[in-house]
Amino acid sequence: MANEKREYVVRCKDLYKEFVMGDTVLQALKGIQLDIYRGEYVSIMGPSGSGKSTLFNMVGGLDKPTSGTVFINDVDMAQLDAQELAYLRCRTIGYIFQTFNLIPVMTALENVVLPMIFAGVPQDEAVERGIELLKIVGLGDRLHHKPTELSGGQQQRVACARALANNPAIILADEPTGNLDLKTGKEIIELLKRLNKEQGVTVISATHDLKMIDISDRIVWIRDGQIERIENREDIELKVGSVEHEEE
Amino acid sequence: MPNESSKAAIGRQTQLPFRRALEISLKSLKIRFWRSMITAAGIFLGIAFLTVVLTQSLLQWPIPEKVDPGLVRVSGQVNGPGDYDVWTPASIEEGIRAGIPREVLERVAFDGKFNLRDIVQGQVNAHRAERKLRLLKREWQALSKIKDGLAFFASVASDAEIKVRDALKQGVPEFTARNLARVADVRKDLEKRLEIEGPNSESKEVRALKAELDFYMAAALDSKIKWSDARKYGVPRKRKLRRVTANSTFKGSDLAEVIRQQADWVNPLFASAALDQDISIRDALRNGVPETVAKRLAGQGNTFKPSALNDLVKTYPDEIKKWERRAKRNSIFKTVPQTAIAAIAKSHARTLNEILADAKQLAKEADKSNLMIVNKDRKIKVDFARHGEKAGEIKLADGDSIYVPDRNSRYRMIWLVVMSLLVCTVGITNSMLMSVTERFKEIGTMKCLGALDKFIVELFMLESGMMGGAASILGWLTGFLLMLIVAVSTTGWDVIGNLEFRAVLITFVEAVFVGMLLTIIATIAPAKRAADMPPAMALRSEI
Repeated sequence: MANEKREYVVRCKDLYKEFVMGDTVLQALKGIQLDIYRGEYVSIMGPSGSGKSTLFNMVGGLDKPTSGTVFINDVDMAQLDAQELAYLRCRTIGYIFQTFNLIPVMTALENVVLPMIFAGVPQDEAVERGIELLKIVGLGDRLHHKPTELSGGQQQRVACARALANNPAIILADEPTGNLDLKTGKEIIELLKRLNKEQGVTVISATHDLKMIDISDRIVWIRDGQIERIENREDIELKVGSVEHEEE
Repeated sequence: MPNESSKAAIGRQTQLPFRRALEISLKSLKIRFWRSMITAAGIFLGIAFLTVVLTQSLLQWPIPEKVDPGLVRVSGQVNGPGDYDVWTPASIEEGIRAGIPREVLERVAFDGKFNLRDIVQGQVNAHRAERKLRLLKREWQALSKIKDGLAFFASVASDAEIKVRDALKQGVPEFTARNLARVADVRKDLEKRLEIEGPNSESKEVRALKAELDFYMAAALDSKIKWSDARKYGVPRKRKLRRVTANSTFKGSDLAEVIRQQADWVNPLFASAALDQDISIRDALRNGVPETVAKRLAGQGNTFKPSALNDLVKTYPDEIKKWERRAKRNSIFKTVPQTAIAAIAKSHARTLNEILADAKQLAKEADKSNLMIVNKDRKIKVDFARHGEKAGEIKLADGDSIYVPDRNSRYRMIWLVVMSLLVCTVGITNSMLMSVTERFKEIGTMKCLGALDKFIVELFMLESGMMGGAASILGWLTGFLLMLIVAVSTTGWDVIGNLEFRAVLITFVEAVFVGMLLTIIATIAPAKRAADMPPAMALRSEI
């Protein structure tokens, strides 16, 4: 396994990102190199203000670096125009956010179908697939509920289903379990791991949650805008505890 | 390094069809209805204000005034406001050619010329006189039935000497009349006695006379009291019943006293007359007074004095003669055919310039571009500023009201419109800015799902366009109705007649157009900004 030639799905070279705020200039990223393989489950860890979210945004095509390059599927992000970028976001990457970010005026089904509509999938096919996806995440009976009518965990599950709508190569998850309780968080993690293993989807998450790290292949530690170290899961001592009776 | 094959794997995202955008925006509006209403309130108020201003300019047309025939009225910013002749004098030959009878012309001509005004006024006078005459005759028919009674009882009120005979003719019961006459008789004797004996005399004779007085007074009031009851009142036995004839008289005030105490044999009208009290219109009508007379006498109130009626009735015969004479005098004008009048009017109508010259020219403050000529069925705007003196060559017609507005009011109007547009813009921009800003996160999410910038902007434009349209329509309606209410309550219902449907429609289109335009313009900037933001920034919004 270790000697197999693996494809890179994301490559970052010399990433720098500055934020100009009034008179001060904040250096969020100070020269990042990062390569992520296809089919990997990577967690980016770091304290607040370390540049974790900024790196995450670069990798996911949500923001442009001040200097340096990001390659997704060997394509330089900086070379893409708006339409190509939109295409990328639509079909290649699926996003899951800490605050779920569902469109409040649409039902669960409509939310999941939306990216497919943007991808040009015919309405009937899209709806069919949407129902299927929602069943996979366990919300087959809540198709027509609006986000306000769903619990946090359910909303996040809808977000997962939405992220999968167009069969993306990459799933980008920003603190997906941040707003969830233990049990629901576990379910989501379970789901993501399943997708990673069964469908070979690359999962890149930025997180604090030890349970997420527990199932990662690699963990990237970032501090002060630079990568401190990258470790394989097997090389880490990690004990994830549990509370008595929590399963009930 | 990017190679050609992988570049091909990157496709181009296409714009979603318009239908989709419409769907999503409608859905958004429906969900956010109440939120949108608050945003829309800014638009609504701004447009309502604009509409008030626009409608006000529609209502600036003055209401046509009642001008005397043959004249036009000039008011507003002129140096000599007032009424002026609308026709120039015509020669007698012209009149005859037009078909006016010679006798008429002879009546009104002066120095070989005549003014159509005199003929038209004569016709009006004839009609008025005939109408008045008809009314008077009708009233007289009713009044003549009660005039005698009225006069009689009025004389009661003035304490005249009343003959028994006349009293009986007017329905005064015999016992009352005769006893009152006896009372008068006793009083005469009493007076003589007191003169001889002094005013404080208490002699037997004086006492006896006083007793007679009381007795006869009581008998006048009560038919049951007979001469045999006289002893009860202290009348000495030896006294005899006094004799009265049809010509005996008594004092009106005594009869008034009787009426005051028991008046079932006299109707309320005559009773009020006798007592000089006010009578209500209702009671007057019930007792034979014509409605027109009663209302005229009562004026603003509800009652009048019968004495006033009595005085009025006396004038009728002369009044009727007066109006008969007037009608006769003017009847000759009725023989003039309308075609003749129209022909002369057409050829001798004066122009606006001539009238303005008569009115000593426009004042300094006059708004030369906005003179208004109104008549019962015509409305003309005259623009001297644009067309110069030529504008004043309009021929006027009988009864035109020429109104010269104040120049400042036009500037004021323009200023108001500009101000209201500013208010609109500020209100709308603020609202739309708020509305877009709070959806930044949603916009960021959409971009993550593959929405193109253009699509985001389109979405917002549609939403704001529809909301702007709805709010503008409601705003227009409110502003219009408000303006109407204010106008009607200050000027009256005629002001509605002044409004033309087309003009109102134009203000509607203007208001709604402005509303939608401003809304859309106000949305473009923030929407574009939101769409251009990299999703990371949009998603970072903490709303």
